[in-house]
Amino acid sequence: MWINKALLAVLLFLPTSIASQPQKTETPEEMISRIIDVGFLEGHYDKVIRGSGDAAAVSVTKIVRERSLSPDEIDRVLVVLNMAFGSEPNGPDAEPKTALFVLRELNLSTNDAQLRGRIAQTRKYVEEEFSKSTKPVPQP
Amino acid sequence: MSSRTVLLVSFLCLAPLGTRQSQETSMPEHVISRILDRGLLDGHDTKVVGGIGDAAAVIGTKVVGGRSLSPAQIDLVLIVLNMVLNMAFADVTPGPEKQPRTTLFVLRQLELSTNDAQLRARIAQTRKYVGEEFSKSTKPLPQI
Repeated sequence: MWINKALLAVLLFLPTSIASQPQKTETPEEMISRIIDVGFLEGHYDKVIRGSGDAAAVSVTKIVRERSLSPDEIDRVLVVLNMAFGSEPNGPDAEPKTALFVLRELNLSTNDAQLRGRIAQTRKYVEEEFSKSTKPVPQP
Repeated sequence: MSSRTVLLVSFLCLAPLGTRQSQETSMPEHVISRILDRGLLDGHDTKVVGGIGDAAAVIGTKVVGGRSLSPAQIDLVLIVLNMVLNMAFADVTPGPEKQPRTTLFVLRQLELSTNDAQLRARIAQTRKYVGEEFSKSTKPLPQI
């Protein structure tokens, strides 16, 4: 009988204690850090990072700092930039300025021809997405 | 009487324009862009750019973008970083911009962009200075 009472007390207590715990939500910078440093990519990261444009590139500079990146880490930075400039970003961060600075640094830090090719592809993609976003929408 | 009215109307119309213009020219973005692109330093630049910390380095990345920097421009970036960080770490107000994160990223790119030994030594000096100033700012103040 006392077990039933204890279980009931636990069941009544748990939901309120869980609800009162502050929910830790990841910031975009923390998400980008997990992608670059751990290679971890959750489904909802795409929703947050996609279209964020140059703001994601600024986060990259703050995460990478003065580290030398491995080829895998460089590839993950490219994933972040491709995501950030996908879906025609708009607003003040639509123009790839810090992104081009980051891509230049990635290019300077590797001699791998294939990786340099992927960096060049990302640069082209980012610039094309920005120019698409600045084109006037055709009137119906 | 009418000339006074004209003067008053002109003043009222021109005053906001003047204020807007001075605000535009004294924005950190404009100051950093002017220094990096034209090499022009103004007496009150330190007041405008000083104290903004790592944000100055972020602005620097936006001004430079994907361009290759000449040795003279690398020198100018170092001047801006030194000037800005000197002021930024002088005040002890804590904040995310106090930590030189983008600054270190910029310094690394400058280092990768040049083979000039003297320039590399200046970059290393700036890095050391930035690290020292940041660690000073994080130390607790001595108790009296």
